Amino acid sequence: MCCFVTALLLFGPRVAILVWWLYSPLYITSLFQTWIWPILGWFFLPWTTLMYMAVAPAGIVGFDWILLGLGVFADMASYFGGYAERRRVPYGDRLPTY
Amino acid sequence: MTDENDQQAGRSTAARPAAPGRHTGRNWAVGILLFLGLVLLTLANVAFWAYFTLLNTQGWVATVGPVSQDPAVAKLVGQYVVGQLFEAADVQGLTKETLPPELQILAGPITVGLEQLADEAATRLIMTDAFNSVWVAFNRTGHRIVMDVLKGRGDSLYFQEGDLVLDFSEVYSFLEDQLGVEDVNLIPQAEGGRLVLMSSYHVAVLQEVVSYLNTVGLLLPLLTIVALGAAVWVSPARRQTVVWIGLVIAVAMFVSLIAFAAARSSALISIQDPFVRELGRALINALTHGLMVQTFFFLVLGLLLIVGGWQAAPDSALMRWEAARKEREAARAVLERPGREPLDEAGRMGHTSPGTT
Repeated sequence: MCCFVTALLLFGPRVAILVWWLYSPLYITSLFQTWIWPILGWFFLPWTTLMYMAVAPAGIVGFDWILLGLGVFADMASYFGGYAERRRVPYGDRLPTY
Repeated sequence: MTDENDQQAGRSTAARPAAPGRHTGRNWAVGILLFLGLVLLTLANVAFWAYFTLLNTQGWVATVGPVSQDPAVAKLVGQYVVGQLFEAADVQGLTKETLPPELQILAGPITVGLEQLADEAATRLIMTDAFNSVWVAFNRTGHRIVMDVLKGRGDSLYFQEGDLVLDFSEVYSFLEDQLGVEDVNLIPQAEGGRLVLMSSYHVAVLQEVVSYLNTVGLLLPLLTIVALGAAVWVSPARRQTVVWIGLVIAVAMFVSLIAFAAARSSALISIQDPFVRELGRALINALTHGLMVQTFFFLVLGLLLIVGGWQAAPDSALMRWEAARKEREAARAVLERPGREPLDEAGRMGHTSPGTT
């Protein structure tokens, strides 16, 4: 758990998912019937995937839906935040013209 | 390309305001206090919940009490108890003996029907207020006993060879003597009616934890408030520090929520027995619900601090307008100095015809 939280704080959700998978692969494989959804989730919605992995085995009831919503919110915030701040990155909004 | 980069770097350096060197120490202090606040808040969140829910008998009863009236739990427990009793009493064998030989083939279906009726009756019984009162009383007494033991005031009656034990042997004797039910084993983990709740090693570890939580359960939240308050007080830019505090709270609580949910799931998956797992799911969900809601509340508080601190900043358009106004007034003051030609109503220099110059 400590490695997982450290990875999450220092490197973000994608690395945390990998650490969790390395630590307990059976836990992860028992959650998903196919490899497609976790891989797509890992690429495009990492916070939502991580939150689903955390809440699903105990059953998604009541407050767990709010937790899943927070995961979706975090993913959306990272996408829209990145878009809104693109001008702060040099050449973030356009390629340089020579 | 290199020239372009250099030019851009030069522009950004020129555009950046000079860093106030005299605030370096205070900025470091704010950073350290924020980090301290992050660590303390994460610990305080759990300690506060544990103090008022796990260690407090009233809080424990209020949290776990309603579980017996949860229909899913009542059905599960009812089915389990009836199944164990039917197995112990060999109801199918008794039915077969009672029926005439030509109808003995019906013993199986009759037993299944009886078991279904008993399941429904048991579920209804468990969901009654009377059973709930028994469940609440059992929890209140049990929690007090366990807490007394963990606080070092325990009765040696519950200690057997250093282990904390619940002894059901008298209940089994009652069932055997009064109801004629032999070899009953309601709790498979209880050998000879003795359920070892905690080994002596775990009792010792938990005594340490409880002692620690009793001390810091209320102290940690206070220290957190002091650390974050000191960060604002020390800070040369208080509004920005409030935004940072909000960010720290939101991140800490978001990661805590993921960690709590993951720990809960891992604990449930580690339980082998399906009945105990299902029961554990209901109990753990009931117990951790308060912690989750509390953590979510702090997360929302953090987000509100971020938005509040952000919105408290002066409006950038208003600042530009104010700067332009001051610039105009300064220019007017220069132009209206004594000896200069007065300005007309539109703020222009006095009209001179082209022919005069």
